[in-house]
Amino acid sequence: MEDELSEMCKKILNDINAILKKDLQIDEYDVIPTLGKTTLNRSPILHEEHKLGVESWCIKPLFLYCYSGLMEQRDKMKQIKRILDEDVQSLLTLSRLVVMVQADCMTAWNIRKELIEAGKHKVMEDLSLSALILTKHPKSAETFAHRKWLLEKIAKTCGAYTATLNDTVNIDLELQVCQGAADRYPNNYNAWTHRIWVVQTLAKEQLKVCHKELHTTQKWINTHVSDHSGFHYRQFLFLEISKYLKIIPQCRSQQLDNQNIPLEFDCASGCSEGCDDDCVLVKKNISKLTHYEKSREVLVQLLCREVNITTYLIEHYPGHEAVWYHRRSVVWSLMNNHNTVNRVQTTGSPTEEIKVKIQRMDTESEELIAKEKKFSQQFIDGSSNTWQAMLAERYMKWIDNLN
Amino acid sequence: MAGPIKDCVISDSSSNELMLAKHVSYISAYSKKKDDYEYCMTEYLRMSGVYWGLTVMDLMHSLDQMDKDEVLKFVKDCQQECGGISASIGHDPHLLYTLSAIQILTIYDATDTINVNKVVLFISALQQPDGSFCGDKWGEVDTRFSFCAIACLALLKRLDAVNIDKATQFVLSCMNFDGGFGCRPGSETHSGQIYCCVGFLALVGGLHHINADMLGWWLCERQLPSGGLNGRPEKLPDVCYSWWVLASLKIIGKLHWIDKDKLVRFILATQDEETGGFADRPGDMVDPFHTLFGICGLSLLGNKDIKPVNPVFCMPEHIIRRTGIEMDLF
Repeated sequence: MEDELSEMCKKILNDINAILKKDLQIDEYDVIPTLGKTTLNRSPILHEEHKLGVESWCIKPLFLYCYSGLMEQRDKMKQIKRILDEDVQSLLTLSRLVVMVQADCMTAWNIRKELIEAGKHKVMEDLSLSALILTKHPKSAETFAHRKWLLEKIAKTCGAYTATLNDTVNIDLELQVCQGAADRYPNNYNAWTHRIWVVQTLAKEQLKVCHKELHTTQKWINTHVSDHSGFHYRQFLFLEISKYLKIIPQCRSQQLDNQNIPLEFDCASGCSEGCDDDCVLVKKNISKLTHYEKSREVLVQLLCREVNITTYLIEHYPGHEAVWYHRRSVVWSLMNNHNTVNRVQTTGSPTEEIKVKIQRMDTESEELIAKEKKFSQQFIDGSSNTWQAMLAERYMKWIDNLN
Repeated sequence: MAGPIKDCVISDSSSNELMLAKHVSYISAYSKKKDDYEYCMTEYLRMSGVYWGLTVMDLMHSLDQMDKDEVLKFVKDCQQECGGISASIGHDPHLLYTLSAIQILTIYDATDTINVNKVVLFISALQQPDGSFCGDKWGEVDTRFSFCAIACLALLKRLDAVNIDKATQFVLSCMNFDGGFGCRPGSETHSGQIYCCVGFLALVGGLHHINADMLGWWLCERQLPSGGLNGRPEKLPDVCYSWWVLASLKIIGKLHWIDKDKLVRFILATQDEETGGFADRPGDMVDPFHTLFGICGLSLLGNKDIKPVNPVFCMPEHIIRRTGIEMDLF
């Protein structure tokens, strides 16, 4: 009986191996629910249109077989303190099945890391495997951690992220993996946190990537109004852009104008939609501004547009806390931006021109607060949706505390 | 259109009495159950499972029903050469399970079961130049690991082994505009991470860095009409988040800001009247993890049949008193 069971498991594992070897484009894996065991003569592994399916009845015996086998071999590895060549294939096969079922089994992923360290397994193969696992377990923390390790490994080996891989392609792929996981599981903390890490760590032209990401995620948030993690990602992007601007005034502005600091956005089209006359920012002739001032104006315009996006979403999809929270963040960023400009420009004795500027910023902040109060009041007074009214009331309170 | 509020409904028939005896027998039976598949599927976090079971049993005055010798032998066998402790035999050491192990040994007043110096070396070697902590040698960084490291060292009275100032700086760099914390700088605020960061700051005397009003407000907004608390905006209420939010509120002195009666009602409704144990939400399957956090939540909310729980360590208060550890709570 025991032998029969392990023979069956071996056969199923062979089927999986053969399919994954033959079809390098497998892009999805899942467990197919079945009522009990299906026909004995048919393999429980399905392969169609680059999708891999495993019938549910075989998961338990298969996992137990692989898990115990893997642990045994691990024990052996530890005792002889090295990995025998003849064990590599089975370690890979067994650990793969273990993470396919239990993606958070850290030790199974670690065994694969050890094989890579020992030069007995390829980084790229595990990039594919972990991407596949994320289609079944989209929020698995250990799977994302493994990917991070793999990507850092590539960087270390190559000396830079660009040496052997096409940098942009690589990042795009990683962002796509995050996007897929976010699509599959709402409010996917690990997927969005990984995406933040990608921008912080892998992106070479960070400012450019931030702007591109703002663009690509805009459509997504419009159709995922409950997903606070998605909104937070945009908050992160705005903060990254403003952080970049904060570094600039520390240098001399003349030098800066000669430097090639990317202004990766078309301002005119950037604020034509959504940035209406109601916006706190008075439209200016930006070509006369210094590079720093120009970048700052663009950031302010982007933030104003984001406020307008939340207005639209609050009006059309009432009762979504995620949208109201996002508005808090964007308004906070606008206020913070005003304050930073004040702080930066008041070092030393302020000239008349700067005094005027500070005055203008203070007025802008006051106007913004007044406008936000008016905005929330209309939902407190006139909303038939009690939850929406409650969220508006909380927003009002938050604005009051901001003062 | 009705508001799309994500919450659950508590039916009138759901339990509103604490069934302690049932929970004791549920945990007791669970610790003896060794169904192959379930056992192997959860082995990667076994050490934490043992800590959940022991803590909840002590809080329910039933620690004596657990097999102390078996537990201590298991912990000893899980200490690896590097000093770190793994989730189970044959698994790799990690800060998460090292903390669970130290908590278990502290409950039994038996830290001499393992080589304490080696644990301390393992932990201090995981601190990075920026003050953060990796969970293990493979390099993943998370504020959860900062908490694990500091909580272990506090229990072992060896906080001198790491750079506290740097560690604090890193945790503070993960604070967001809403007063909350994420897992790394720039990450979204998350109740679980808040609990870790607030607990960390309580242990290093750094709670003054927190804007208690702002953070307290955010945490209170986790309470839904059902009375349950969620961990982030627009997530469903969950008993485990009820604990993390509640413990954080307790540490920053704002526990009175939420509706306690409604939360008690929610937690009680997640009990399984037949099998014992608590689930994440009313009607779902129970497990030891949610059973611990259900009991801990009720303890913080003042239930007198349960022993008082320490909000920072999520351990019985009498045990923390015995260790003499001091922490500054608001």
